[in-house]
Amino acid sequence: MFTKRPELMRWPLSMAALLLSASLCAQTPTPIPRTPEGKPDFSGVWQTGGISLTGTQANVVPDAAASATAAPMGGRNTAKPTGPWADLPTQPPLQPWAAEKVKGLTAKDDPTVRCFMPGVPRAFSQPFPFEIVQTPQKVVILYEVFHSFRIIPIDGRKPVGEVLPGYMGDSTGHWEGDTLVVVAENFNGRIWGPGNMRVTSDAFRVTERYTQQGDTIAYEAKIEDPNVLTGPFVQRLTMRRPPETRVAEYECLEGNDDVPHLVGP
Amino acid sequence: MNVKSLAAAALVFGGLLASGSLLAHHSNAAMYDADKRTVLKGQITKVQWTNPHSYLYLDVKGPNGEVVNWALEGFPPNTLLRTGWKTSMIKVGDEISVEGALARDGSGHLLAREITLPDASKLYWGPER
Repeated sequence: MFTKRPELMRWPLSMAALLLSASLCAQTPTPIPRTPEGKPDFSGVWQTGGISLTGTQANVVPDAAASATAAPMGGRNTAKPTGPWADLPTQPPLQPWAAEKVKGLTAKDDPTVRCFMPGVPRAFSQPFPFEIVQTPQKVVILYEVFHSFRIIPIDGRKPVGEVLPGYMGDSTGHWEGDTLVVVAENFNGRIWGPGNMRVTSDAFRVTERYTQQGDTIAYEAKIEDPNVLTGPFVQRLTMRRPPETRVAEYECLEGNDDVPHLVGP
Repeated sequence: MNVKSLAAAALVFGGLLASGSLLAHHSNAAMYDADKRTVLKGQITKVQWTNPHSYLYLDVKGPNGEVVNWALEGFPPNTLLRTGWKTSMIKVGDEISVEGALARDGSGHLLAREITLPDASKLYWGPER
């Protein structure tokens, strides 16, 4: 025979407390993962662009009808911007000579067609995942695309200084509250910037802000290049965690038929 | 990964497809005319799981009996595997049909979208445009 036990009698009260607490939680921002040191923990695999399934259909398999009505999420962050760069333009304000030069450039001139690394921030806007590995001293970003990587000291170390400039540049970072701020410089002037910034110089400089918001990272990149632009502009992306994804090998050269296709043999 | 979980993945990534750099590597529009489409049926002669783009080669018999070997360009292997392909799904000798966009220069290249496998299942090999 069933007998009322005191612990069962307490259930309704406990459940009410639980529901109240859940309701309060719902009104507060989603907590973000943090490192043992209390810093936001960006570790893991992220992606901004689509999974390369381009075109007007959003579905990834022909029969997945539900996916055709998928809510747009967008790699681009279209929310009204806030923060220190809220008023900056989002398109590159090219100097007249650069605007003229860009007119004559087409897809075949894109350095990535020849499998060169895309630089910063362009490596983020490729439709491939990247993994962030974080320690108290450094943040390492391993991009699937073109085997690109960045090792970013966040322990106060200074930029490497006078070394050969490169496609991915030299990055150093620091914390501003819960935002990771990274300055990337020492680029070689052979990469393309975001949008129609198809010209860069060795003065190309990117300041990035990574702010984790729930399950996403709000990413902002301020682009400066006094030799090419009339002023800075900003690119914003939303980084998301792709499901069940590991960053994999991507050897661009093995089957790159794009040069003969686009440029000619 | 079954169709259901692929659909879930699509829900996660849905609108990402409209985001900035849609193309893995180059502008498909430079080479293919997305509005000029065709369906080909034939036999696979070569399977190439390569970056930056995978290729299938297909012998297609024309109306006069002549055989043309077509190159079917698609997503990079990592993308194909993430969207449900397995390398075991397709092999030399398989009869398939494929829908896609024709090359602007009239060459035997197709930006391959939907492939119908011998068991009648359908998968995307590449982008629509």
